[in-house]
Amino acid sequence: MKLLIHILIVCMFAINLQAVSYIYVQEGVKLPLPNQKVTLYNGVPVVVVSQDGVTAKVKLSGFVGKKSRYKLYATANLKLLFATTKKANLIKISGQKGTMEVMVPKKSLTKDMEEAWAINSDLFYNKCTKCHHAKIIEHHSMQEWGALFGSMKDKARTTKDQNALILRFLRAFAKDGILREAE
Amino acid sequence: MSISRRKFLQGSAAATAVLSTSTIGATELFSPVKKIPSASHFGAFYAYVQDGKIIDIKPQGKDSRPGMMKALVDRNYSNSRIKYPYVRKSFLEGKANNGELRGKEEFVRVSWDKALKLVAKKLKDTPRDSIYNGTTDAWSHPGLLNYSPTLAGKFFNTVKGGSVNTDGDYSAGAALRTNPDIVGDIEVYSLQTAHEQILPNTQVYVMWGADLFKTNKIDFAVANRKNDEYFLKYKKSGMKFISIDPIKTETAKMFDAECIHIRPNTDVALMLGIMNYLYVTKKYDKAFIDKYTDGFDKFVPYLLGKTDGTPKTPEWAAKITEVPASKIKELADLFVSHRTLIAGNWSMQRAHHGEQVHWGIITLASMIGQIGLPGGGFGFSLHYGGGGQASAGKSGPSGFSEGRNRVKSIIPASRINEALLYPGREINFMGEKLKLPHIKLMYVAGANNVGHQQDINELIKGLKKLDTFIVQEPWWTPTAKMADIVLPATNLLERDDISLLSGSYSGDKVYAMRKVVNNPYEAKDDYEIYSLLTKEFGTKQYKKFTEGKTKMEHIKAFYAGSDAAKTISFDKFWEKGYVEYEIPKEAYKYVRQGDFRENPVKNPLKTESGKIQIFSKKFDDFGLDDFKGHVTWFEPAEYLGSKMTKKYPLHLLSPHATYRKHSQLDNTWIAELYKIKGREPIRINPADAKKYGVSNGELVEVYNGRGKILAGAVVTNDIREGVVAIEEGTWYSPEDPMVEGSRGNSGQPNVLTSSRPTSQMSQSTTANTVLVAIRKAEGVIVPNQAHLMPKVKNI
Repeated sequence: MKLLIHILIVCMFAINLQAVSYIYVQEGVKLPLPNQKVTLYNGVPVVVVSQDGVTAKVKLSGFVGKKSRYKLYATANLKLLFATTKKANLIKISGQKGTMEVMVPKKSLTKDMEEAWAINSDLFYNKCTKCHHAKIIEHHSMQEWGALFGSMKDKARTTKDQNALILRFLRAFAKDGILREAE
Repeated sequence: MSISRRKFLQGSAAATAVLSTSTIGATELFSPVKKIPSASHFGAFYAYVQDGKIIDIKPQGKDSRPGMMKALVDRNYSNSRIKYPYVRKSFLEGKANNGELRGKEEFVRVSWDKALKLVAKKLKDTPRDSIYNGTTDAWSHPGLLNYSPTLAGKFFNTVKGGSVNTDGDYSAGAALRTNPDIVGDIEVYSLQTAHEQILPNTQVYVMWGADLFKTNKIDFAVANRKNDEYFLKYKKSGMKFISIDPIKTETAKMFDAECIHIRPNTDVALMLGIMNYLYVTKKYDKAFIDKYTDGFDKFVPYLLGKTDGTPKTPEWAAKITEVPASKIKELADLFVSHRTLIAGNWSMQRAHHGEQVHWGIITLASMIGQIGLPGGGFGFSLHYGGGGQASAGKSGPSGFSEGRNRVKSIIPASRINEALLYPGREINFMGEKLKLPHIKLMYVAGANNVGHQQDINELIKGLKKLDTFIVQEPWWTPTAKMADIVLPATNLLERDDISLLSGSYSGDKVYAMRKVVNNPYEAKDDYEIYSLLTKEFGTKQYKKFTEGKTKMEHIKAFYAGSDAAKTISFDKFWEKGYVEYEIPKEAYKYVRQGDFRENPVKNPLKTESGKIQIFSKKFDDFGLDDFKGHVTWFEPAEYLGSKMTKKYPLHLLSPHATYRKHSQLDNTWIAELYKIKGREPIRINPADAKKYGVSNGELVEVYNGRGKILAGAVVTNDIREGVVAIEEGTWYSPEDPMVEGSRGNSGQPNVLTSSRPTSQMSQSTTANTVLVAIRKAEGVIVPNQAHLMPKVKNI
């Protein structure tokens, strides 16, 4: 099943199977890279282009909005943010698609998708299975998850930061998201 | 003992002079009486215990209607208690094809050890994607330690990595699948406009199927019945009440409402008739439509009949609904000229094409243009759980989490029978294909599936195809009687627990649910049963499930996770019995969709457009013939306008029970207050009674192509002609369990309902789309045995 997930990502990003990694932030949601004027989000799939002892150059592929050339999103609906930058032209744009290359600490990368998303996943399954069974995430679209989670978050008494983590997880693994949960 | 207890409690209900009754012996008068706080879905209470027996239950604080909670005592001492673990005889013997004997043969008492080992073996032998967790909801117990769905999910996720679950609920399944795309929120369980905003602002209160007084008396959490106080204010407020309902409800009478006795299942036609009139006369709020909605231009051609050749005029609607066209126009004029609040309900959407009902109300409310104004717009939960009460906004006890279920197969609620009978069948669901799983083992704890599932005869055929059916229950419910392995559970009076944040909307109380008495038999707490089962899977699983804590340590940890812990210590809370949060003044100003109305750009709805979707491209793209891109009138498969009325001329409704919470309390003295000759009452209009030769108070047979039942006739003008009503929830009992499809002997209406889904989109349940015929009951009438335990062999 994990192989299938990798294949899915390979098809989506047209990249080499072996090079798929995920941004892994052990604490918080974001990986700030101030020297490069870039912030990456936890769990984002990347391709490792090159690496040395402690750092790796990674490539992100996604979508950009018409108004902002400084944000890279997972999908064309711009509901799941991959990265933000304050540096002009860092995102190479072709139509609605965009790519960017950044240097990241190797310790902030993992090949294990579940590990990368563990913080978000644990929070979702902890907070959102107290009153009812968890819905199958891939049965709902990103937009539906926005509405469903929006309806329930007050009952779950989650904080603003927790809401952001949960919603990122739900959107990433949604029907029209970029990843699939392993069985 | 239980018989004298029953009589004793009946006496207490009448006079509440408990200690003066003659059933208490002289020595008991000198024993101390303990007062123990606890809580239930019926309300919070103090139990009075003397010599280890409950002698009375009284409400905590002010409570206008504590009657039902008094019956908890009778339920505790009921003859229908499951005292020991049992296994069905031929299942225990391992005989081939023994599933056919489910519900027909005796049970054999076994030890707990033997029962647990047998359950564990069956679970180990069955792949997780063939295990159906039939614990469908949480209505059995409002305590977090023994909270049935979470506990079951936690168990299966711990020992098997998951199980197949039901998708969608039985209350509001169709709305849950449509409202998020239309208005960006499920709406049915969401915070409602505060009473404080309704009372001074609403001029016309439309109860569209809503029976506020009846359904608000219980709660998913612990009921508080504060709405009763608000309803008294409503009555004095000068609001005009309109009840659109085939039944003259308790609430309609209380508010002296204008009653519009519409044909069941035709509400969408009435909505369209009103909308057509508003559009043609240009009386609708065009500015609201332009600013706050999306896709109105794609809906109008349908409304005017340009897409299907049928203009949805008031005259067109009058023929379908039997509401005169003049009244339809009058309603339209009234709604747009006054601050109007439409209180929808959930039962209307438990019908064929039920997805259309809330969409219709939202579209109509959009044309009226008062959504987001104080006391205007719509509300889909004003009838439930104290809807309208302001929220304290605090955290309750934390409770368990189920964790992750790795099984991705699900069964939509209406398709349970089909999944059991035709595993592997492919159906449409939410715009995609869904393959129904092959279920071999079903496990139910704290749910009464042979009762809440539509078409019981079909369900029973499906249950007989299972390899293993396990039920964990305090009582011999119809579901327990169908099981192979029966595990006796304690009920809420016999276990310590801590409540959910209560009420469902006010969220201002946390209750200690303290054990009142010991179970005199071998029943164990649900939590304990699952803990012992995890032990059978290994130490690792046991530790994971129990988290290394005792039951009381869990309760304390749950409490520590709440805001209540910041105010008083657990020990003080446990002794006092509750913690109450203050409700902030700001909460009383809450208006549903108020933020959206104030600034739809800053506060968009979570829909495709950020606005109300009068038209949804996503839904339209599903390409279904029974669900379109805008609200649409679809003729139901069974209703008073269909040809089927020649054979089955009456529309059967099964509304929420007045004196039960679904099936709970059916096995108590309270049932004797309203049953007719031991059967559930069927309300019938005098004209129909005359037509079919039915007299008040006699037993009748109600039937259709799916089955037949006995019920007790109540002839009343409170129900319109052509419609009959039997309240949902009474315990199913066949006259002769040995005969397939035997006549239902208790009046359980789901023998007659259909498993037909709402549509190919949401596949939700349709209990209110049923035609039946009625006749005098004939033949030998045997007593209703619903509450008797089955034949058991005690060793």
